[in-house]
Amino acid sequence: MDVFDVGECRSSAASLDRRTLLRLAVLSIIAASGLSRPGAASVVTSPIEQFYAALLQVMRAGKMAPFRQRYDVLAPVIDQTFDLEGILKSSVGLRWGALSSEEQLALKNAFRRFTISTYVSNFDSFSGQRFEIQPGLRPAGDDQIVQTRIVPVSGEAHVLDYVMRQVGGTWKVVDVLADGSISRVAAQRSEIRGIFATGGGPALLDRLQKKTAELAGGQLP
Amino acid sequence: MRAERLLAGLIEYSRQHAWAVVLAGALLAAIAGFYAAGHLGLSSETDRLFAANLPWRQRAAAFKAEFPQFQNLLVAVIDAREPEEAEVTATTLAESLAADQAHFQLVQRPDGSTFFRKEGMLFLDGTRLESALDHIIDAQPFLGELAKDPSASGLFAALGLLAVGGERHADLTPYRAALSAFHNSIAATIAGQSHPLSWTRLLAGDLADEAGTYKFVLAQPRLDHTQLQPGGTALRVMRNVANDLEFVKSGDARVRITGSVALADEEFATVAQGAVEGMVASTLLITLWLFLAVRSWRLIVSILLTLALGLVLTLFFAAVAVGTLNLVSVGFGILFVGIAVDFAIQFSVRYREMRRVKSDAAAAMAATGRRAGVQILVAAAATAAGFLSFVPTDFRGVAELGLIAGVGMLIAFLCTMTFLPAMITLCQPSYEGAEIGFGWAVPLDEIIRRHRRRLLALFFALGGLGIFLLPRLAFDSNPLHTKDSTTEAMRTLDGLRDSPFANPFTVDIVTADPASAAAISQRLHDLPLVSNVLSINSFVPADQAPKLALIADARNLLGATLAPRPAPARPTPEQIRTAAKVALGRIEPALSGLSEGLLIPALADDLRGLAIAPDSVLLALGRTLTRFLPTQLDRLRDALEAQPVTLQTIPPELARDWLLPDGRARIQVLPKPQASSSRGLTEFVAQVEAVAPDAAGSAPTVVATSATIVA
Repeated sequence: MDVFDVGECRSSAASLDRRTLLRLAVLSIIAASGLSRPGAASVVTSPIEQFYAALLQVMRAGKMAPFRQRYDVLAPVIDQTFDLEGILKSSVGLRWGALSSEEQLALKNAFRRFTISTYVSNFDSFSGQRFEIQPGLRPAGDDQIVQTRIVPVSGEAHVLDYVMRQVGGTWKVVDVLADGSISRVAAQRSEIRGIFATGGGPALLDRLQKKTAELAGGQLP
Repeated sequence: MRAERLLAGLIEYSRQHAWAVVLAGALLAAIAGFYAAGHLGLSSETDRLFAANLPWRQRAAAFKAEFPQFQNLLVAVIDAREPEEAEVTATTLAESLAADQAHFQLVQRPDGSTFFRKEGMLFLDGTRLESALDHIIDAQPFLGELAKDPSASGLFAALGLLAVGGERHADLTPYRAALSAFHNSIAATIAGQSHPLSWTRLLAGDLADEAGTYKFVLAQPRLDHTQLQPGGTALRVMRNVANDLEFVKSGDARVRITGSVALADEEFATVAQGAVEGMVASTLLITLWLFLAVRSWRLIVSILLTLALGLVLTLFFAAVAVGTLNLVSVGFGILFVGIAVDFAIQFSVRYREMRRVKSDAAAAMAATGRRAGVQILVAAAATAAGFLSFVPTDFRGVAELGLIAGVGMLIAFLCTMTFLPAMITLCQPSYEGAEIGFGWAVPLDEIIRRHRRRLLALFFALGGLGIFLLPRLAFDSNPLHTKDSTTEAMRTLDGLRDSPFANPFTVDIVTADPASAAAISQRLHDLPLVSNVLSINSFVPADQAPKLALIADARNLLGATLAPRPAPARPTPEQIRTAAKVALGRIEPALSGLSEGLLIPALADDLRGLAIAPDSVLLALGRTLTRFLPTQLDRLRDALEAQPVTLQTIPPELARDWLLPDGRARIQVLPKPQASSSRGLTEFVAQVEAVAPDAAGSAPTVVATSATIVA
């Protein structure tokens, strides 16, 4: 489930001393607070700011902290930021409606655990990356796109855009666009279609649980 | 014998007043010729061959009045190597013709309506729509990257990211078709054979050709009825415009022109050419015959002038009685010359004989008049009666031919009795001493007399064989079979006969309203020889709700990345080169983990080639890859915006081909291929008419035509 995921910005655990880490953490918090802008854009971008702040937190904690602990830090923020149910429905497509409510519930849980675990696993170290949120939103129909860059200390920056939609009164992420244009949900759709063709909902559930277990290294119950 | 004396008197009068008669004839010919030239028309409309009060002619006329947009068309049939090339060719052709108000009053693109761009996907059945949308969703990485940067660098960026995904064991098989198309395009460009990449084919696969590989431009030219070929100028303009189109010049697209105007003009050209050739051939043959029969130039000139006078007077009669010659009656000239010359020959041969027997020319003429007058009268009356017996038929073409040729025989007879004796008297053919006739043929008489029984038996046998074979003589009702099949319009029709939407023989039915059209369509659809039934209802897709849900789902997935964005500046060759190197930098580390079948190694080779390719290749590559991309992205955006279709939402430019202002609805019925024979077509029309007796259109017209002709 990682055709175009953001893991590329994961760095090998750099051996930075705690002091440096602390300094970077402070800097990044200052940077993050400086990003908040008044007006409509802040309503749309603030979930991403909070998400990036949480990501930085788990990155700084690194592999030293237990997977479960980092998972618990990220989980509420992801629940808040992402429309996970919407993303899952979009990724599955119209087949979703044909599933029983028990299957849907099981898939929702598994997909949530899988998504959070993917972020915890991919952002498990910190080597000076900066998370930049571009000023201004890019509209796409009724949606708004928040444009961000993950800038490593050296090398090429990664463009990562978030498609935001108003769900129940708040702006939530409904898709992530690698390089600003390649849809995570569309890639998941292509992959899930193949899984559904072989074994339907149960096959997808099985795949999500297995992948989550791999990512968590047995640290999730 | 009153007639004999009367005719003898007429001939004697003409001999005595030869100069007066000849001058009167010349004057008459001049007046008649002048009148005929101004009043006698020629029409190639096959409809004119039949009486206007026939029920099927009236239905056809009513249909023409109700749907004038289907009349007098020049139809450009366009096909091309890639669907986009056909589309661009059709669009540019239609635009150029529409701008030419001097030659075209209406230009239509039945398949180019925005309605189909927006609602087209709803016309696919559910499964095919789903697989088409899956295909498009699979191509999202490319579409998204290219919507952001519709250039070669955009494409290379997508390839690089894809390879990175593949390195992480993502399943790349959905992208195989796209990767193969990119490889072919890039490899061909490096090899110097660049050809625009078809994004339609890449995204839609087989569906690209679903609506048929042909595009149509329908043009109603302003006809110039003072010309023998009224659409000739418009046809030439259309041909010139077509030949100047980009893909026609490059040989990738083909524009062929057909339609009723082109067919009629070509038919006219065929007839005109045939008439000229026929006249030259028959004049030569007649002169030869005359020489064999009369052996004297003085007599030959007399006879030819008599024929000419008779022909001009008959033309005058045709101008007064009929006004317009049709494609059948135009043949009267050849009939006239062929038969009238016989009267003159009879007269002249008799005169030669008498001239040998009698002491002087005057006595010879008198004797000729006494002996030949009645003989020729009988022959002329019989021939005229034969021709005039055609007059009562509803097949107006033949009826008019019979009238003109029949009266022409009487005119020829009168000329032979007056003008010819006068001419002979003035020309004074010389006295011949020898016996008239073919001396060498004398022994034949004896042979025939001796073998008369055997000869008679032989002819009886041949006659019997003819009667035996008669039932095998079928009537071919297909009017297209009478046309020259080598002309462009005909060859184009031939090529389209397999295409259900361009069948030249269809049935049109006008029903009370769309609802009754739907009910009748259903019954027609079940008929064994019916392949398809179209009406306004055909433009309202079935099962819209699930299809709209599928489309909305795809729009939800693709909308954000397909949304139009300000395009970055067109990359320079150096930027394309850099993009190729960057992509290569991402692909190369991934190569070991990727399967050969995905063509990623081949693409890596292509990128290596591009990194060292000259600027001209890189620029050509930019054009090759992205020439048709912006339009395809627009089409995809339009298609994903599909909305529910009802009878009310069908745009007027489409609806007017199917609905009349008073609410009546047209149905078009298309036959199966087995109905292309005469018998099949008759059966097809009979089946349809059992359901809808008031059928019009080309198929019932053809069938009714043949019924009228045979009756």
